[in-house]
Amino acid sequence: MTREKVVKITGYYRDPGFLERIMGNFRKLWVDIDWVNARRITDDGLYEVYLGIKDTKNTYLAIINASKMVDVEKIEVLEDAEVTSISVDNKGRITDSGSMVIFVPVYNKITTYSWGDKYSQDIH
Amino acid sequence: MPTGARLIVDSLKREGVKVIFGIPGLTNMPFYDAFLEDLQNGELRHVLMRHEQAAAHAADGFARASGFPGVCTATSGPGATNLVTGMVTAYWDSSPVIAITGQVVRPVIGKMAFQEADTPGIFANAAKYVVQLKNIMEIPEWIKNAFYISSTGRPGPVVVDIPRDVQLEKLDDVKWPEKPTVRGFRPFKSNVEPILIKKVAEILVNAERPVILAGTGVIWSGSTPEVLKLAETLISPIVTTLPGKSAIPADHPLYVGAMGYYGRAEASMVGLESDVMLIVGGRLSDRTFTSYDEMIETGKKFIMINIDPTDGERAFKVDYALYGNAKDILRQILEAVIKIGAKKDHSGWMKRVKELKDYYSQFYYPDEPGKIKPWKALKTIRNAIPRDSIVTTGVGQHQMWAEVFWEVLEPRTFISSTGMGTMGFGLPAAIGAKMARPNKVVVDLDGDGSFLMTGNNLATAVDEHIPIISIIFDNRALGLVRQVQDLFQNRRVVGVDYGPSPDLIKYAEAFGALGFNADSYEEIEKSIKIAIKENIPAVIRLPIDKNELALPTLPPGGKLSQVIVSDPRKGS
Repeated sequence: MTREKVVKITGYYRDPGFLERIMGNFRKLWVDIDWVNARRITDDGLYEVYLGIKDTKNTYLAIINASKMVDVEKIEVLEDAEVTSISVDNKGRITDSGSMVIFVPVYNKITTYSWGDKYSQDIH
Repeated sequence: MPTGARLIVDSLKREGVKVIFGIPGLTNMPFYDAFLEDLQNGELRHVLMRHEQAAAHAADGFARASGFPGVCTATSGPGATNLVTGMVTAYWDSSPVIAITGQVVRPVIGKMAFQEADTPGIFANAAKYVVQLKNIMEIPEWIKNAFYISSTGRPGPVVVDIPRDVQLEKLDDVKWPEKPTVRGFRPFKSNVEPILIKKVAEILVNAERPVILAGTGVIWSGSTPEVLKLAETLISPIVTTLPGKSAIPADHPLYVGAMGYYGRAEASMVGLESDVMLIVGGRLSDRTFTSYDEMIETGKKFIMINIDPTDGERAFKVDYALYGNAKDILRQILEAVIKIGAKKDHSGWMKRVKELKDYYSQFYYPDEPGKIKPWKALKTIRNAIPRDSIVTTGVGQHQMWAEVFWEVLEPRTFISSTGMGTMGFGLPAAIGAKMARPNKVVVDLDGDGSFLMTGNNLATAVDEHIPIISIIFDNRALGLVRQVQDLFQNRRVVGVDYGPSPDLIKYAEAFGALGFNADSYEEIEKSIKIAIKENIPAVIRLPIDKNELALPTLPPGGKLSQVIVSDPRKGS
């Protein structure tokens, strides 16, 4: 089974084309996406997009290509992330069989790629 | 109170734009209306192309000849979609082109309106960037941003899509941006530090068989003098990519040629046999390195200088990557090399380079009485036009002959669709190049198949008094495809042979251009001289045998070491 990599892309939303281009970046290199969580985090349109992507021979290239995409500030690889899922029902309660499942990555190291810069950071 | 359309015009003028290639339609008509007075007073020139693909190629040719972004415009729907091939061609060859597209009015966007196309969706992966403007206030900012994005880092095309009603809006308080404001975009950082420069210089100085591979980045950074100086200091041969040919004068004694799929065999062999390769401004495409494994297996050290830091990891991980402006980096390396001093005697290596040149030259120059041989035709053309003439090409066998035999003598004088391989590029690119450099002779080396894909733009050249010369290697076939079928698909030649239509001389004359049938080398020279003297567009047809091959070549998927240099149909 192909391993999954979890990445977080931070960038500026102008219109939904921002999300399309992120998806297109992975599509072009045949890197499949298992799940996506995306949301606006500031009033001026900064977005964070978490993706669970397949770890293939093209994944690294897709990551560095994303790191130089216009509108994208940075892409962070959440190294060796374990993804746990939380199930939420229609009242917002965490349950065993809710109608919405949220994927939560658990990790302790981030590698950031941004316009030619690359740096790692341990999270404790 | 200016309209949005007027703001587009003023924004373009503020960026230094003088020429716009395009075709008007309903949704970019306000833009046209706004620049009428600018055309009348000579501040702008509009070139009315006969197809939007050609408008994009012309803007591309303008950019590559001048070093300044080229601008084209099209209406919405089919106008915008016709630009796609031209824009993706510019994208693959790192050329800065700005396309201003009209769009249907805002209330009907997305509702399958007349002549509506999803321009942002279509260009999302066919340009470096595309932006659709939502109101008039965004126009000054985004025209400026488009130029910034287009020419910063790796150059590339940008589309600005502007709804017709935004062009017709009025604004009384225009805020002209002093600088670009693109969030989530910035120039690549340089990683160059003295210790890295010193290390690279030591490797180059201590190399037994160094080679410099020059790519498109040498042209855009203007670092031809630095590449030559470094090569002369190291006594290192220089090879190029196909587009990199435009960077290095072919008469420099250290220049070997363009390496790659249809490149000079000796250049590919020098690339393979080297022990250190300094790649300047090249992205290691599969056209230059046809097999990455083959290159890695040589065990050589790869040093890469590139504006784009991700290029050093695209094909394989290079040993030493220096990111930043090639001109600055080369100067620093040169300084460090001079400081260290030359240690290795490269006379043995240069002797080997000469051996390779001499060996392969026996295959290149066959002559057949009564037939026009491509190599000799190109030599004749070279001798008939000034040193600083600009040459564009179409795509096909003639392009491959140009790769091997055309002698580029000055930077930015060889313009070809090398990444995308877009047939029909040559004529409109020549129109653009001539607009950028009106005092230079501009020649489009073309094939009959490629030329006819955009040949209707000869009307533009005639009507707009743009005296370019198209020299057509006419073999009445899609020669490069035919060659592959013939050599590698058991001679199953299918779907590639043309009939006698059209008569290219009458075709040229129908447009009001000069038409010449040059069936001898003397006629080629004579026709060129008349075309230059008459100073009007001309088409010179050279009859080429359809069995003529573009050599060297490789078998499909082949390695550089499998190069074929003589006609395999004739046996060994």
